[in-house]
Amino acid sequence: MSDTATPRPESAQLACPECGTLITYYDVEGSEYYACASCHAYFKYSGESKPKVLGNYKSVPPPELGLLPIGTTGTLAGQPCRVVGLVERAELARNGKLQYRWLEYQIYQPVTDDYAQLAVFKGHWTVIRPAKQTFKVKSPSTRHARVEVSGETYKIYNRYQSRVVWAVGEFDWNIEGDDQLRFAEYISPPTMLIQERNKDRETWYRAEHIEPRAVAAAFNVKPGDMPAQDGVGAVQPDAVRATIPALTLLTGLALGLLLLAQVLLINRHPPTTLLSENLQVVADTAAAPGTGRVLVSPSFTLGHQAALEIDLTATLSNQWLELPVSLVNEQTGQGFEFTKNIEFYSGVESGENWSEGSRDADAVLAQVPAGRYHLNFYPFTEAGPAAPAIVVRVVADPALWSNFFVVFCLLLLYPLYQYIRRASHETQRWNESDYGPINA
Amino acid sequence: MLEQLWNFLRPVRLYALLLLLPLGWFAWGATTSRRLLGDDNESTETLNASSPGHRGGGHARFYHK
Repeated sequence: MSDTATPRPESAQLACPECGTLITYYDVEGSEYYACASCHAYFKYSGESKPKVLGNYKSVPPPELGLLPIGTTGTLAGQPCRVVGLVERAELARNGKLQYRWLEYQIYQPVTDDYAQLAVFKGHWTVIRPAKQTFKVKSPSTRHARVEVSGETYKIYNRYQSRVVWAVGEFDWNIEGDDQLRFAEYISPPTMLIQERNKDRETWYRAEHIEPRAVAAAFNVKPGDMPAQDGVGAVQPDAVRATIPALTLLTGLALGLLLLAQVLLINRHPPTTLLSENLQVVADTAAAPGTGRVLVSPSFTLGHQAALEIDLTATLSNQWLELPVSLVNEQTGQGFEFTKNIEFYSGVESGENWSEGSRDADAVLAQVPAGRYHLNFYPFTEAGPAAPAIVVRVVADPALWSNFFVVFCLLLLYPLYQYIRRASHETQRWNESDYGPINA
Repeated sequence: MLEQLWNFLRPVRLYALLLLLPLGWFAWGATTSRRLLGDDNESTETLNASSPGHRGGGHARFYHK
């Protein structure tokens, strides 16, 4: 004796008990509740008794209604599926008003005869499926409530009750019955665990973040038609987070390489003192008051092209010194020039010693070719106080630490930018929650 | 080992290329004995000091030994 299975019909139709419009439904065996797209009546129909009208959604439909119309087919997670229902829900605030509206698309998967939900809030999408298990909540009544699963900690993100604002399509449960449910959302991006409970039962769902372009691809919608994202979604993954270990390693390697290069440079050409001389400023009586005679340093030889650091220390006492300096190549006549203004003042006021300025100055001349050089000084100081002496020191191949620190800072720029982006991402995520660290 | 490292660094491969710019700039400064943010030379004749300057203005033309 053979048993021939009756194939399940792909769809069926029923007439709306209010307006008579024919409604096509797809979960022929499972659906029992319907919301008419024409008159918005919400009714129950089990297939045997007469349809029973339970209510009517006369409010304005959500603007995104046309994005995934009822009956739209697609492929979600490799499974053929169809949009069979749409519910607009809102969170019930403590004052009884509705806030934070979002949409839930009922996605029927005929091959496996089960459902998924696609929820969208401020352009952020999640796929919700039954978790088929329960989870133990630690510190359940506190703001530190959490669920720990396989080493992952899901932190409490939201607790709320919801109300149906608008609906269309077919449902295998009474969507209005959800009014008595209390929801708690625990997040560990990109996953959320949703606890749904009332006095009698507790059910858990698992929601996964899904990018809008993936939803668009699943239902053959133009990516540009997807609602724009606003802020950061509850379980939207942080794109930067995944790159942090590699970024840290690479930046560490680069900084290490930089430090090694600096040490090698110093070892290859250690700083060498070419000249150390004490020069006394002598007033030039033939010139304007304050003008000193030109001072010429002893000659010194630079063996290879290098940077030169010229350190100057003047024995100033409550006076200033303007000091143009020339470095002259005695073989080619090539000259380098710089001017330093040195001033130092000190005294005692109300029993307190004070000082201002510095007796020291230095200059760096780069790319000085090899050759024999001397320095010319053209001092000009205020007339009156004793003429100062100048201690001059010329160092070849000084360690150019400014180069090191400039590049050091440049290397840290991008990691710093990414760190700020990551912090901003988490801040924006928890801004939408009453349980974030900033609300603690 | 190297393949593992490459795969690990793959998400930041563009940043790795970008790193070559400041490191290369440092190497260029080191090999040409330049200070990257500029030195204190004010002489117009030796602003580009790689070629011998022609004697022109400034104090350098005086007091040669």
